[in-house]
Amino acid sequence: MIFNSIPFAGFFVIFFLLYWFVFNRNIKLQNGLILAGSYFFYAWWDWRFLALLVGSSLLNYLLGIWIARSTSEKKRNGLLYLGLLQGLGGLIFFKYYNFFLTSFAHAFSEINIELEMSTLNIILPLGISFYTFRTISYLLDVHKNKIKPSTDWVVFFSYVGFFPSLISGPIDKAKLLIPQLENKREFSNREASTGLRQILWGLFKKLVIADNCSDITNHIFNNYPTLPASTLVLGALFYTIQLYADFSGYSDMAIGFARLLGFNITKNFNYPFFAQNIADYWRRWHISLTAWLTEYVFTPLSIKFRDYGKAGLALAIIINFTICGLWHGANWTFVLYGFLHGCYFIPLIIKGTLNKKRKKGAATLLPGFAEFGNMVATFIVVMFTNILFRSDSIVQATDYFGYIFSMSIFSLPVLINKAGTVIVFSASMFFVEWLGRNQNFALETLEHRFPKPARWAIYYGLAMLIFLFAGKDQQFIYVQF
Amino acid sequence: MKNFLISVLVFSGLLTSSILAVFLMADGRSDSYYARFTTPAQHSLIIGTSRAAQGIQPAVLDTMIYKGTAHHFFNYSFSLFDSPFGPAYLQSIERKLDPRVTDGIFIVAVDPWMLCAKNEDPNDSLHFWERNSFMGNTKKVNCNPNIPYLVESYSEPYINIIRKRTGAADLILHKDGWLEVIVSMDSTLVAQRLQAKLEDYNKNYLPVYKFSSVRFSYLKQTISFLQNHGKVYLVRLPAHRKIMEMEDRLLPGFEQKIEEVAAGFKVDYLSFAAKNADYDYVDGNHLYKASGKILSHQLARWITEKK
Repeated sequence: MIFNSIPFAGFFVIFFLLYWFVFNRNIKLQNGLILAGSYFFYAWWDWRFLALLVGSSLLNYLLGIWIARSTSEKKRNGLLYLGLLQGLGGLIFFKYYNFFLTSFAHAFSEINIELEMSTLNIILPLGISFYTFRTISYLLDVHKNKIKPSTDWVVFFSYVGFFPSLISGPIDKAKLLIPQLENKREFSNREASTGLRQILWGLFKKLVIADNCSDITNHIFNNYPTLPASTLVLGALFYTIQLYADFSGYSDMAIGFARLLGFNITKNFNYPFFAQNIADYWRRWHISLTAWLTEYVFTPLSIKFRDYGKAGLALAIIINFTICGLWHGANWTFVLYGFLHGCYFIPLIIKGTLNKKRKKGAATLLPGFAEFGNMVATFIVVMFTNILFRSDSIVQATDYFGYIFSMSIFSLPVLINKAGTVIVFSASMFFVEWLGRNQNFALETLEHRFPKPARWAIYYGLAMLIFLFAGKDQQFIYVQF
Repeated sequence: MKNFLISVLVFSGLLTSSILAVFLMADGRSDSYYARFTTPAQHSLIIGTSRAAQGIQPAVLDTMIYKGTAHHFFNYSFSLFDSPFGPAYLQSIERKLDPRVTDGIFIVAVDPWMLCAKNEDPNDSLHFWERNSFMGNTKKVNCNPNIPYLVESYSEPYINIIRKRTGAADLILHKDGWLEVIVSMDSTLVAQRLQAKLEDYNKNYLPVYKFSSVRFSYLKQTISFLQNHGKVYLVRLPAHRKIMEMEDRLLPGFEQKIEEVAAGFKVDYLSFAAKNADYDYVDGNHLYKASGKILSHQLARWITEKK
């Protein structure tokens, strides 16, 4: 039941009406509905892993309370480690077990030692990377006394399983979502309209841009040995656009659905392709994951390495981003992807401009020359690194790079079906996002800028574009993580 | 809340009307299959894959067999992927045929590919490809517009419904189910298309297609079902020599198998295999429309004689 499906539309309409008309008088009932709805939504995908979600929620709920109640530091640590063991252990088992095993065996085979190891036929539970990070951050925050544990199990279980962000985030912190679950939500016309606008924009990005890009990138990445280098560069370009449109489109929809229910959840993207350098890019891309890793991985590491000056900082960043890469999936391509992104920070560390905040650009129609140059340079670095993200293996990625750096780079690219349509729509998306770059999402303040008939015409036009140009149904890329 | 819901309802109504207007524009140019699901239940059917879809012209049969009657032939053939013999196609045929018919004429086109499957286990009908294609998914086959088909099975962006209606078409699915392919018959282009088809079949079909006794049994079930509603004729359509040689390698003894089936069900069988050099093909596999017209004439004459 993906957001852009008819079953989800039916589910959400019924849920919305029950939520605001039947269960609105009692917050406990309303939270109960959120929990039931979230579990129904999750079970629709795959009911077999519902027990894992419930079990994980239950354990972390109890551990949170016990950690807060305990006065012995040793016991508090023990309970925290138990929670981490369950969270990370589950993640490692379901996501990384086979990867580590085969990598281990492969490493030994390099020195002529053959290990007999059998891999397991494991199915990755949906959303495990996202809800596990929620529970881990919750326990760490309770342990550090940053937040009080939730004593209402329905609230806590709803926090872990909150359906708009259950499958692919954003990874909401407990201090943001739990208080909203504990307090009565009021329906706001303005918030609901903004939510619908954000869903519409997300659908446009996903269905019109990402899904159409997908046909092109699949063709190029499946046939790269037979295509000229210039086409392979186009493949990397389209994949970068696809990845952004797919994931930011999902996030827009998730935030929009949450808004319709009266929640404000974490913003996940802030126009990353307008970033001025790689550090700026990561402050704008998958914000909830980057913020999570910054708080729980990078900060402790940078404190540990602070005696080593810039080298220590670089090491902390590289480890942080390597973990970020690995989080995406059990493949060396992701590890290398993360590692490279970490390395890209080194020039900024050396120059001492890592944390230099740039002034928020005025809402000018065109960027300045330097600003545009920085944007393009950052985009190109990200685009080429995304070849690793898209490739099935390191061998395929190196092959792909090998074909790119050949004389056929000077030939005209092969025209792929739909490329023209995708270019026009992508350019339109970037233009609209550029104009709306100081808002939470590009169409946020539409109601202040246009009269109602013009707004309706825009919504209608956008909806019809989605209907007429939507690509073939494709799964969201980040659902697999 | 009230204002919000009213706005949403009005907007949804406007959008739904526009979507419906686009759906109403869908016709025989929209894709190669849609129009076959938009006619009423039929009296006489042509069953087969794309060979029959392009090669047998119901209008020609009508003029010779159903002249002066209210009955018509309807070409209900699709493609090798979607309409080989199997449970999905049989169910679809059952839905398409008017249940009251007892005097229909049914032309069942057969070829070796239709009796094969490309599954690991060719008899695993749960994993037959067509089960999850429009053939298995389209439960309503007699409604116009066919919204379930357009929503679930139309595989192109909907803008193509408008584009194809207004632009030059290379495929037209006629109201009688015949698929007309508009293509240049320049000899160089024909040779190129033949070469491409042979390479495709040699690389992607021949190594993976295996005889399926389940498909074979569904051929028999299809004949048996159709016999309850009229008379059945089995036909093997011609193809280019090299394609037919490939078919001999795929399923040796095919002709004998079909003759046995025909004898078993007491139905007539006509094979055009030996006369394949008499016709022109757009790509070696599909008859060019002029040849299709000639073949349809010959077929109609044969049926008239056998009636």
